[in-house]
Amino acid sequence: MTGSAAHVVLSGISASPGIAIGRAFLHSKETPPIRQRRIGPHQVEAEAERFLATLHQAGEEVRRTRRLVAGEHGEELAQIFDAQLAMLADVEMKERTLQCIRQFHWSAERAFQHSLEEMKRGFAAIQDEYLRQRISDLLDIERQVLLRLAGGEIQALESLRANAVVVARDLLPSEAVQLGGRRVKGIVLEVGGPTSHAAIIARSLGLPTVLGAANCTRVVASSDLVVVDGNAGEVHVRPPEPVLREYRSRLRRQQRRERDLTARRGLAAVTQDGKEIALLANIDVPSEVQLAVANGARGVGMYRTEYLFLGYQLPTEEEQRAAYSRIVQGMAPHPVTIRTIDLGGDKLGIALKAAAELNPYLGWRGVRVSLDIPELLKTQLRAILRAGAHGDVCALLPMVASLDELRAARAVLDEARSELRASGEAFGEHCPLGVMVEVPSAALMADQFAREADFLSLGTNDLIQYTLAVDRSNARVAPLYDPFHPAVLRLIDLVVRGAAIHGVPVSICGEMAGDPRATALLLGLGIERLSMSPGLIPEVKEAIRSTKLEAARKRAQECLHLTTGAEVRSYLGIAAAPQPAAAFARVEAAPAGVR
Amino acid sequence: MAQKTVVIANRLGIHARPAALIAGAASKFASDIFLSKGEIRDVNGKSIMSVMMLAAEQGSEVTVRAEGEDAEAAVAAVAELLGSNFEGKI
Repeated sequence: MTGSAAHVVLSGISASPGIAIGRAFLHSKETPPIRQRRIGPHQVEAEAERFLATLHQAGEEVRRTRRLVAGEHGEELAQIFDAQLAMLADVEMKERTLQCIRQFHWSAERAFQHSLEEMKRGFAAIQDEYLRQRISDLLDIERQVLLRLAGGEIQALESLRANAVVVARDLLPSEAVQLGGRRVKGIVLEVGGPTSHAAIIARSLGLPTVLGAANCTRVVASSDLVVVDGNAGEVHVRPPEPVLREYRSRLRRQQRRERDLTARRGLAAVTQDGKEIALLANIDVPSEVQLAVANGARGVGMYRTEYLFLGYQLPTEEEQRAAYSRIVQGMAPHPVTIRTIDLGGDKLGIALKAAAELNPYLGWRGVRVSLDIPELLKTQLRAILRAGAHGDVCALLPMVASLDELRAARAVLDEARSELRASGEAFGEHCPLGVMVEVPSAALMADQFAREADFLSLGTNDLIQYTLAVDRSNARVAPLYDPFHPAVLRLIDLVVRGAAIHGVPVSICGEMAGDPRATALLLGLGIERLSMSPGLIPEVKEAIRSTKLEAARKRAQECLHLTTGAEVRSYLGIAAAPQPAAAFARVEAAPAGVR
Repeated sequence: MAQKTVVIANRLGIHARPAALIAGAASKFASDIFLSKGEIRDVNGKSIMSVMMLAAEQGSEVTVRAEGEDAEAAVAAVAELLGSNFEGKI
């Protein structure tokens, strides 16, 4: 035992619930410093060969990862790696590097970095957002190749040991998807918000995850014992025996509860007084349909399509149609609501920082992007309509702030429909068009939206962030993010009543829908459709089955008239979130130089 | 030397996949092939990254130039791809 083995508690944001106990796997993304800058004239050819061999190795590894991802998650997701493969094989990059080695007698590291530097500058200058994003692939291959050239041990994700907790500054979507399977127990990241890709993927894989854990890569050492408390958003590093014992017993309870829920998943989602609630699934990739069906989902309430757009190229209409059709067929006879791409905001976090918007949450994202590039929207809507040949589909528009946006999108949908009619291709005529209510303006105008939209879907994650002006990925203010704030509840109430005027269905597809502590409150506010991550369905169903609707309505009305989130939570008997000040104090109180 | 200027027809411009197709086609020729667009002069037509960096949008003009024994054929092939809408290929 050394003095460095002190217990440290890191506080972050819960991004995926559950308890995980395991040994830390530090995933470093730091580019190693270049040790040797010049080589002797006689070493030139050996250096050139070393460079080419390293490129080859790096390519082989990317290809292996690609195969792995293709097998587990499908070809669409695997295409994320095609850009990296193309870059590793790029003639210009190779020639420039070899030229620097041969002419200037530079080391392979220096020559490679120099040639990439020029390309990075070129990409950074591109106006086109989509092409500019490819710079993240450049950075990734730069790190991979430089690490190998430096002879360093690569903490490649595939060298993960069993029971590992992955600790990193950040994870690229391409890395996060590799974390499936049984070897990873949990994830701890320094950055990232609950709606980042890492969080979404972690939830879809059911991995307990804490994001925004400041300094985690410095506090945690490789192989340290780590407890991830995805429920409280806390990480215990090198926990003492009593803490460990407590978490082991919580973990056992969690596992027992999961088994119980599995046994009860055939039961209906009906309240004590006989009201049936529609439980729907939020999904990201086709492979999640199976779990959704197994857990009794009555449809997909939100299929996020961003995955298809993360790869090397924009997906074609045919590729989109194939992906959507797979989900529609898997879910039949239940309907599938397909959300048009919601790129932007934190989801473009992998784009070049310098080119990032000052205020991405208030920037070019969601339906704003789709309407600015009508071909993008039309291609996607055509693909959705064509998938409608296999079952019920609905299209859902994200980030709508005013009715003009719905009207413009409706015009594109009508155009897509008449084009398909003229072409004689198979498609489904019936495709309701809905609006995500996640901007306060849309919530305030819900009665007007309900007049023109076919359905409304409350995206509570963003609605809460915009209403309370809290960026959840900022650990300092994240505790102010409060789904139980009366302002949020009043907006939900407004939307439910606005939708009722025109008899339009309204669902909730934010995380709040999957929080069993909020279930009775939401039902009391009049919500009858809840869409959540498939794994959360059994817990929420239990909450529905124990709810008495009449009592829930009265309590919800009371909540609308309380003054703070804390009052609502205390009225509902929900434990308060940990106070941020205390959590930070604990980190800072850790012995100086623990690492 | 052979040279030709074409207008980009593809709606989404020369994105990653068209760039890969163009670089792939260019690589089949012995000649050196250069692409220019506006202020970006003579990038390597056989390099996917260089072609992507042109960021050639629909309606922009790209000049193809080739030097070598099969320059004529190279320019013809690359120019045809650049001016196409990549239908059925992407």
